Amino acid sequence: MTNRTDSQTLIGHPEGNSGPSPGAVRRRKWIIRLLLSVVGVAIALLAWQRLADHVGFAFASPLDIWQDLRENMWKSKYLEQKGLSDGGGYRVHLLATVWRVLIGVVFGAAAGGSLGLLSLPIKVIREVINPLAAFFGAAPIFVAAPFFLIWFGITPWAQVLMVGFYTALLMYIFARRAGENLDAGYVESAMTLGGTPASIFRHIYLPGTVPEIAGGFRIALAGAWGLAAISELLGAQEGAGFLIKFYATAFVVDGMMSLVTLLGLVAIFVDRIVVFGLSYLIRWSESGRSLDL
Amino acid sequence: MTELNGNEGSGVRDVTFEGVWCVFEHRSGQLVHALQDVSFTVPAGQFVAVVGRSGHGKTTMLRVLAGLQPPTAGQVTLGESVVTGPSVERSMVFQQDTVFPWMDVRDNVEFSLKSQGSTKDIRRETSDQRLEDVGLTDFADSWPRELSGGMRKRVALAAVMASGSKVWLMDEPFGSLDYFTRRSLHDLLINLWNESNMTIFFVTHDIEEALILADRVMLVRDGKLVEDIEVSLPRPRDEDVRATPEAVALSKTILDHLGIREDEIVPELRGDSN
Repeated sequence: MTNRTDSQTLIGHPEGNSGPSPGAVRRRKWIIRLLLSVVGVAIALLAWQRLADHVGFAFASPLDIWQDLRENMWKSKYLEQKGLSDGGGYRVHLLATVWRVLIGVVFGAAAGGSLGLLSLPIKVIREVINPLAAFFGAAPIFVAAPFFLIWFGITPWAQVLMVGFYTALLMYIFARRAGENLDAGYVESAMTLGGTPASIFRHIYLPGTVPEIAGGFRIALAGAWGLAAISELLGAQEGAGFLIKFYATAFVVDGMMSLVTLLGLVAIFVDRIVVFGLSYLIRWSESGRSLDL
Repeated sequence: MTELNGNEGSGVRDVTFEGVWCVFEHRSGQLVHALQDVSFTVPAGQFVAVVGRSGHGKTTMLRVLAGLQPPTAGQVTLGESVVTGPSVERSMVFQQDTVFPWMDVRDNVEFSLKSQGSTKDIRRETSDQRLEDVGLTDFADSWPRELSGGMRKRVALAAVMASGSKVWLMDEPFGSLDYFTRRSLHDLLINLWNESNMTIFFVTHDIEEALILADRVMLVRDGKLVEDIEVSLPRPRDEDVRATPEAVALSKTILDHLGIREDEIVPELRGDSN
């Protein structure tokens, strides 16, 4: 038996070569990227501070926001006086929004992603959902949001439902497209290797479509924050959007901008966690390795 | 006669094409006859090269045998069973890279066994053996993207071997590889074939490759089987064997049957310097 190997074609470093290892190069690139990001954020904060100094009270500076968050994040006397908090400050309202978004996104993504993939082999699913996806996909969700709240009320669960519906719609479209774009050669190869419909779905379609679905999931997640905030603006009794609306009415600029900033930071934080998880799932691909989907 | 479209059946059996036609309708409405009344029988254990120009029906022939493409007329049988769909009995190595990039090398090799419900111990034992056969033991935990093109082809070979398939269908599997890697894979394939009792259909447009590997060459032109040539050259078929008058005459016969005249070949490719 010939045990010949052409492993010399692999990228590697022969013994005695003093060049940097791939790991060291990656680490250096990561540090440079981090430094550039820090510089970018610092420049933005300085520019923001200067702009706020110039505009005056109608535009809160980063320092104003920092001060506001210190006073109201965990416990807010102002909100207690207004009857908008039982002593929890912004934290309680922010958590309400975060939970609605996460529950809606998780269930919506599971439902939409599964249906999108199942619609490839199961014609009935495709024919029932495609017209609905085309209709709701064409209607801007932010325009449809008020109707959604009218139909389902302004309860927290109606907002979860709206986020879930929006996520499911996007994930259906992305999952379906990912399945269609999966190289048919993989499926045919699996079939000739004795793959059953179940094993092909589990071992070929599911992992093979993750990279493309991952992009859709991040888009849906980003949109879900905005959607949740808008639904709260339209008539909720708690949540970051509700507080933003209250502050806008009372012209409390510091508080309003604090909450917008806070919501943005939470969205970035959750997105980073998602990227970390996805990079593990697609570690077999180049995009998974670079943490840059 | 039974229908064969699952994992049923085992053992080594003859492959028979009986009056197989495969006709496609082009978008323009024109009918494309990819296969026209193709009939032959290949005894179990034979190494067959299917040679022809691009677009003349070689791959279609393989896809019909794989069960990936139903024939318009006629039938393909494996022993007594009619081929009606893909089966683990007829595993295919494709021209393009179809090693699953999301599975490491071992999982690729074990995919077929996992689909067939084999236990973990059996899967592990089989994959260890097959990876050793193709010289990839040290790369069992690697991702396909970490391997060279030649190594990925060896993963594909190991996966087909692990499936237990008795008929290997190979659609220009080494076409994209450099000469030296291709030659090493030829040696590997011949060794694997010698050790087993499988039937191999090897599609290629490379006459030299066909003469190195096969003991029978089928020539396909315009969807028709125009010639069926026994190759009785001694093995191993090194450069000396391929330079014998018998081998040169075989090459010329193949070129003639494919409708390629000597003077069509660019002088530089023939080796003429003047």
